[in-house]
Amino acid sequence: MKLLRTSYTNFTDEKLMEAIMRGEKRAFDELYQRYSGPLLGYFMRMLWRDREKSEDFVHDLFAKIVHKPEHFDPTRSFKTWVYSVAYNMCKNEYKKAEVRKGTRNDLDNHFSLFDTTANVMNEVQDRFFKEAFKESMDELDQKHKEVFALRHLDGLSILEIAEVLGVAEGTIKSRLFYATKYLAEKLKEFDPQLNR
Amino acid sequence: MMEKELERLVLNKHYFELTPNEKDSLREWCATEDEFLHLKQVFEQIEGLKVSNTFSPKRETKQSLDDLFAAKYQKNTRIIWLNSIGVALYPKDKPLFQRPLAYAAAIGIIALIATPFLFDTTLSAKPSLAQVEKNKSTSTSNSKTTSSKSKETPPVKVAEVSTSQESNEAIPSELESYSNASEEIAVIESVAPVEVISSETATMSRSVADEPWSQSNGIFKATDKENDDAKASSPVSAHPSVLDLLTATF
Repeated sequence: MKLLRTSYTNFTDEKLMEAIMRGEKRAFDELYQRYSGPLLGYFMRMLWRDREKSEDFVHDLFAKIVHKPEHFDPTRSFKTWVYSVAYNMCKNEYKKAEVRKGTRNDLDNHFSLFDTTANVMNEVQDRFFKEAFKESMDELDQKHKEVFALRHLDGLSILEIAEVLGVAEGTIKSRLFYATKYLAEKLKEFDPQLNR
Repeated sequence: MMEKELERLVLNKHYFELTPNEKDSLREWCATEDEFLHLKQVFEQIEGLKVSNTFSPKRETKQSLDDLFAAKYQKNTRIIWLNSIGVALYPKDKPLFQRPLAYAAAIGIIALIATPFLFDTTLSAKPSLAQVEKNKSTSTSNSKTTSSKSKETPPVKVAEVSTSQESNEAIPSELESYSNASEEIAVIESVAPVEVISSETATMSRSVADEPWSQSNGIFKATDKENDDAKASSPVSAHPSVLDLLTATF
């Protein structure tokens, strides 16, 4: 019997998953609090910035956690595992989209649907640069883009990204290097000294 | 060089601040100052995106997941009326000390501990203490009787006081005399002369009756058992010096 109410804020993700397996509702709330936002952002980037679809994917992912928490191996990193699941969900969605569109791969066309140039000339210089950065990101190859986003926007380490994507660590480093150099080159036209 | 270290260098340093070693390690990423500045701008932009990309899902999504969770982990719970009482008395989402059932249990334990102390009669059963109590009660009854007269208290039927040591030892016989109070009152009333007596002169049976005169003027009447004589105290008005004494006392 517990004298004091357990605080889950200091629990690791893995411990939270163990508590969820025991049916602790507040552990689930804490995990949702930690990951729902970042995962929504991840799905937004991966699924053509479709908010509704991304919301559905977040729901489905957490529903899997509720229904089958035993699928998670507590000896592994939860962050890696959950991003692996998210990545596989996106891959499945790409396959479905391929079938629907009858095209070989039109993911880049989806990305171009995102309007980043609207009224951009009327924005301040920082805003303009931000939009250009997003454009450059969208122009990147999918495999480079996802590595770059996982590393810099989701905060995963090289090793974690390698586990999530199921590729070698050296490959991840190479892709990250390429993406960074590409973005720096594309944004060369914006003189950083003038931009400040 | 680790990517994190590279980011830290690019974000936190200007190009001219870099040491030759650092420049060497960065050469793969940015060979010139311009490339370094471009890279720095990219990383700064990413930091800004991290802040602006804080999404939060809709409330409906969370609600739906909560329902799923409840369905998964509480489906075996039988819904009976007793459950609601159980939940009210013992809510599981609160710590133990905030549960009403815990309050009730604590009160019960305190009551259980306090009961022996509240109803303990062993002290009053000791004979030596009882004797002291008896004497005190007698003396207090005397003082009460005296003060009650001056304060217009309900009339005392009979009060027989013995100031000598012999009379103290003969308390039971005096108590018997209380029962004959009405007879003594009759004797006192029949006494015509009123004399001023001293309280230390003899054993006296002092009676205070219901009559208005005994309350209004505060005169004590007494009978001398040896002489079969009745005496009464003089009123205060006859001795104004007593009042001076009282004034000095209070």
